Amino acid sequence: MIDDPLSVITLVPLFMGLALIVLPRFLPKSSAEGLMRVSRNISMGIALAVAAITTLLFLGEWGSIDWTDITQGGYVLQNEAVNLIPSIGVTWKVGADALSFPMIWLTAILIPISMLVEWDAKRGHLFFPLLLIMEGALLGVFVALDLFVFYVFWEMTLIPMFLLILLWGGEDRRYAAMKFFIYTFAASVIMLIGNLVMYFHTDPISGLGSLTGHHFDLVAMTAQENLIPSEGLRHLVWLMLLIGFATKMPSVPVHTWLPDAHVQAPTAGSMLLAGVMLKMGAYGFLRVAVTIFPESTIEFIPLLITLGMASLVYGAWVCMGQTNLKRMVAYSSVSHMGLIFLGIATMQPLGIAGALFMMFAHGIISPLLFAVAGAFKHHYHTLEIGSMRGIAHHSPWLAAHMMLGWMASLGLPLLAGFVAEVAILIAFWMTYGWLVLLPALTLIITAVYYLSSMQRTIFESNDPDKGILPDTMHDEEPRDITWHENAGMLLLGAMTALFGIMPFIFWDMMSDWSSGFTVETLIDAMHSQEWKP
Amino acid sequence: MIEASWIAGLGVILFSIGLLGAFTRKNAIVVLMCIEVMLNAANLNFVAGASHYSDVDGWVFTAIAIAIAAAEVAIGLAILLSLYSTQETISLEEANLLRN
Amino acid sequence: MGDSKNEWELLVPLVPFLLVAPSLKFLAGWESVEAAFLIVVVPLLTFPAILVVGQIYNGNETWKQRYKEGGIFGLGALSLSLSIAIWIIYDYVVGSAHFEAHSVVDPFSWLTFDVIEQTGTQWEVSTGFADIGVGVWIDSVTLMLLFVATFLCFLICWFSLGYMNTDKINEDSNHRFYGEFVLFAIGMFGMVLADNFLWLFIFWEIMGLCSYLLIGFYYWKDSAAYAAKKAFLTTRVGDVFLVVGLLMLYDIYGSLDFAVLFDNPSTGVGGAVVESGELNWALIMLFIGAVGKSAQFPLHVWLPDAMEGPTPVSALIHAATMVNAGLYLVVRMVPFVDVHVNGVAGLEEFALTVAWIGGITAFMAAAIAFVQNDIKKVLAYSTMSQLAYIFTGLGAGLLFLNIDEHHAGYFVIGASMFHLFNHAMAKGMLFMASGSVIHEVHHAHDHVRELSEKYSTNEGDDHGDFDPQDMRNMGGLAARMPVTATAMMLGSMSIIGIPLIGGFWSKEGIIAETWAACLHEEPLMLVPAVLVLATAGMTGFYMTRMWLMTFAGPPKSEVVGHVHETTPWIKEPLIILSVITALGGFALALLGASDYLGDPHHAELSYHGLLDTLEHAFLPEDSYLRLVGWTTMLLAMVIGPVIASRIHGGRLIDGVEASPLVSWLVDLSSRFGSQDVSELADSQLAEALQRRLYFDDLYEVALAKTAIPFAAFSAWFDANVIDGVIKQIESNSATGSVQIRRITTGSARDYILMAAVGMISIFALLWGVSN
Repeated sequence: MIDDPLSVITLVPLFMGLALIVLPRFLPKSSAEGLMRVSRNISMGIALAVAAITTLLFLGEWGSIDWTDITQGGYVLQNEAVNLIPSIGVTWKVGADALSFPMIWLTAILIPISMLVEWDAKRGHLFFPLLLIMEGALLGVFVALDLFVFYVFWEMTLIPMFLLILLWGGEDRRYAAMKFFIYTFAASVIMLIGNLVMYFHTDPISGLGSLTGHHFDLVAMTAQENLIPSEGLRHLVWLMLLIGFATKMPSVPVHTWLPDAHVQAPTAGSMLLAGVMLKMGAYGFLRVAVTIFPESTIEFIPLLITLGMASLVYGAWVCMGQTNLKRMVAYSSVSHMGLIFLGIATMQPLGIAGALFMMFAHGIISPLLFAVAGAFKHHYHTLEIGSMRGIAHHSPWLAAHMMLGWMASLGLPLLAGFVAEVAILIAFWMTYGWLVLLPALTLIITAVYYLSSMQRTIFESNDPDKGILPDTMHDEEPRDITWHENAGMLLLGAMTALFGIMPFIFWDMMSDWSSGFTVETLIDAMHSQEWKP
Repeated sequence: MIEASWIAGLGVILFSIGLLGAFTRKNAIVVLMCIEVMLNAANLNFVAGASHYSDVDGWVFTAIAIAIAAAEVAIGLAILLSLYSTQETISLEEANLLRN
Repeated sequence: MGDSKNEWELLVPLVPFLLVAPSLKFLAGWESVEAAFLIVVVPLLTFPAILVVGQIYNGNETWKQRYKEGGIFGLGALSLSLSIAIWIIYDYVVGSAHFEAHSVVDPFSWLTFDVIEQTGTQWEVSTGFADIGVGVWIDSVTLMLLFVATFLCFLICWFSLGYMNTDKINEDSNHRFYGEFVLFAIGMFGMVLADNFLWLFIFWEIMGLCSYLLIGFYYWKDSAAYAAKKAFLTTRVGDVFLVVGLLMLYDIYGSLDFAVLFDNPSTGVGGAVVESGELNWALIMLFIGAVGKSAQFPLHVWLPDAMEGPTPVSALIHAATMVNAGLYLVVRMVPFVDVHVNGVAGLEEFALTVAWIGGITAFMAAAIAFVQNDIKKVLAYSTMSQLAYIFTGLGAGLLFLNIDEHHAGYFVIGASMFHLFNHAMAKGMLFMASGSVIHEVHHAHDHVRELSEKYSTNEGDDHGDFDPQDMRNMGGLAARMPVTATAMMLGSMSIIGIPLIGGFWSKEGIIAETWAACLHEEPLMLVPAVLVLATAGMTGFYMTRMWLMTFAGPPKSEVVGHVHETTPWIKEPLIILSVITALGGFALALLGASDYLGDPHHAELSYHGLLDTLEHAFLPEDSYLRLVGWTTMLLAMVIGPVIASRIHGGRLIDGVEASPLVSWLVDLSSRFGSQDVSELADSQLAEALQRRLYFDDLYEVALAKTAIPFAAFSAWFDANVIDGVIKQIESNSATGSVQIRRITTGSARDYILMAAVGMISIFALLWGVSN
């Protein structure tokens, strides 16, 4: 059996994707159709293999892992560190724990589903390999235990996404792709400066860093007591890290790249962007900033609450004023990610577990919403909410999926988002009292915009037999979604219901991790800062 | 004996004349000549040094510099010929295709 | 009519469902409580099956005729739930083995987590906070609601087989109806059986979802889609406050389990004493949720619009089950205030709030019902009003319990719950009967139109405006629809509170105790007490008006002559419920249902003695209460109906006869003379009532003037101000780079100059540094 499954699932998609891109150079001139089909089938095969491996890892069959029994700071599936660039202290070190594994599993499952949704979309032979490269890069972010490798994969995710938007996007794709790339890249560079400051404060480890005497090993950095002794510098580094991670999440006020990127991106791109890439920000924040600098985190809790509230409430209001379906869903993403900051700011294991579950749940629901929006664009050629009515007549399956996705997103119980919201709200009340009314009342606004958009697009045509079609149809017959779009949406819908009815599948390990994290890391910092809610 | 410093001084004067000429004159050939003047001024410096310290290294440097100057003039004139064939004049004012 | 044999044949698939309960008991030896989860799980498996199979077999004739597009399977699942419910009730009420007040099946842990708290300056993991689990809770209230829910779901599904499947406009969409219907049933059953507040809320929300889907069943209609959205959003406002209440409860008690909370409400997490201040807020938050769900003032605006849904939906959700959810939640608050058994004192304010809201809503709804012409809207406002009665009763009960008058408190809580039962049965039947009327009138109208198109050469009347729900198109239907007329008569009597029929036994208790509370304990109860008394008379009026306008007097349109009561599946539920309404209230009162339902600690059904009960109703000891009781009866039975008869009563026309069960009423109604009220009908008051006292308009305008513009502003703000910063950076970088580019003039002389200057500066720097 494979010794190091995490490295395999990261590197194989990456290299196979690259190979599939350059493959046409070496093959005799074959038809574009045939080439596309070959690259598509191979890509799907690899993606499914990765998903299967990851699920087996979860079910514990691989090395009998009990995911709820990992001590804080320990990682499972950790490989023997391979020196990559020993002179500056870079090693290939990967591992997973209860924080990263749900994300790993989510990524592994979402890639084949997003490929499935775009199965017949005639995207050419580069599309699916790019998704594979994306998979490798995303997985690399979540498994990396070396800060340098983490950063490399972090930036690597930008490239396939940029190409996806640029080559297969909507009318304004050049603007959106450039904005997306430069905006998030600039923020990441600021984060890099923070990383380098951390690097230069690490105590030497024998065998690493022969040139500089420092290393990038995240595990050792975490274990090192008091990485940066000077408090001012520590706060500054934390803020720089925050800028990088907050832009990715995204948090208001650095969120404006997201709506443009989403509207212009192709469906699979949006699904992955919303489903996994945004979570990289939250994951990185927890893994690097909060774990290594808990005192700074506690110092800046008011800032976290402000950012979280702003994202949540402001995001919801802006969402309500949108007329483009994909923009609306993009802003609802902004709004939900605000809850994650709020969950972390509660400083309760319940709240942090809620934040983790929100990352996971949103990672299932958001791709569903974007798949629905993509299907709208595909079959009705427009995303304007006001331009059509009563579509449920012509596309009942699409209407049903829209209903399910929208209801999941507004937090209907027995669908994945509810548990996360309730957990965060309970913890928030315990720590901050009546301030919880603000997130609670925002739930009403969430319901308003979703129901209004449904009322206008799929209901209300005043004709029992047909709907009012948008002008962009130009006398084309409306049709329901294709089997592969339907299958992809059904899978996502089933997962939403599954994790809504049985959240304990992943909740237990998340709760365990949060308890351990709070007790071992945060409580000491709370004592030293003499923090009171 | 002529003092080394005077030779160096002459070198400085010549250098400044050449420098000023290089960024003032419009005619490309004149600019080349000014560059030659600057090179020769540097050579004078070397000669002064060699004479003052009675070291043969200075004379070696001078020889090398003269050789390099000659090669450089050849290249410069070749570029000028090319320029002339493009724009029918060797005025440097007109050679602004790389503008902005 | 020849289809009746066929009808029973179609029910054959029900047999396996019905056999499950007996086989579990007799073959597998299960306890009834162990099977309780099946009440929720079997429908849970059925509803996706109905939806998926229905979508795949859409249009198939067998699917439509034999399986009624999934209705038979829905009915089967519901019959299974009903049989298990009856089994459980039997075991608890009659069986001797489980004679505890409640029973809990071991909860299975759903969400485990830790909570840290601060003791002094140290933070550590707290042991007082419990995980959240899933389990079953059964006590007397559960049993009553379980019966109401399962029984009515079953009957109304039966009714729908006739009502929905014979209407052309529903063809090929019925699988959606039955799927959503079963999903709703899951929500209701789950809520009633849940053993902690979180799961109560989860199923509460499921019901809200189904209400949205079913109100918007005719989704292409503007009005229906709007009504569905309005219902969801209004109840959502209430739900949000409910969630906040749950958070507060969890923080106070460290658990949301009924077993923990009801046992000792005055002790919180880690043995801390519970302050009435914080508990008051928690209960108020929960109550706001109840107000939304049960359509009480000020969150009442969604219920009348909800009549856009098909009639079975109105019957089930908006009369018999979902709106009772709010009441159920308030009943679950009883242990918190019961000072006699570990409750927390100082919550009188809360009780008064409940009673006041109840009183105001009762009066307001009854007033608006005066001017409604749509038969379903009258019933909707009647529901609102009756539910308000129950809230008033609960408020009085909570008050009594909190001041340690536990006998009176238990009595009135029991009476309120009993009224819930009576009302659910009667209202469900009334809605089904009104559905029967609407259905037949609609068919008759189609028939008339066909005939007129056949026999006349011109276009004929404008038929597009005919509203089969408008009572001004009816009249004299008693002769044409005997079963429906009887059912509606009995149902109205129950609602009005005619002695010996259904609602009387419970309503008296509520009104009496409210006045007792006012006179003996708390003067602030005067307002609810007076309002509730006045409403009794008003109820008498508007229910009688409704019945008379529909069934008595001469026909007001030619359509009436063509009405026949022929649709299958509709009559059986009406007959069954008529019998229950007529006799059931009496029987249960005899058995002391009020006491059984009121006091969970000593729940026992015992034979009360007929005379005891009657004495309590007609001749209470207190002379004031006697006055109140007789005034109520006078208003409700005499004054209200008589006035209604004067306006709308009258004999049927010659040549038609009604069945004896109702003809006495028709004749009676014609004996009071007549009165013309057209001036009153055009007055400003009538206008205001027609506009529902302008509350709907108020909310709509407020939203349109504040929320929508603010959202548009936020969107503008984001695109132009926040993104504006980014766009500004963009354009500044662009212009900046243009400016900087001007250095590259392209002129060789300039470059030489720059090179020279650069070199000289470097030399100068080096020279300066080395010195």
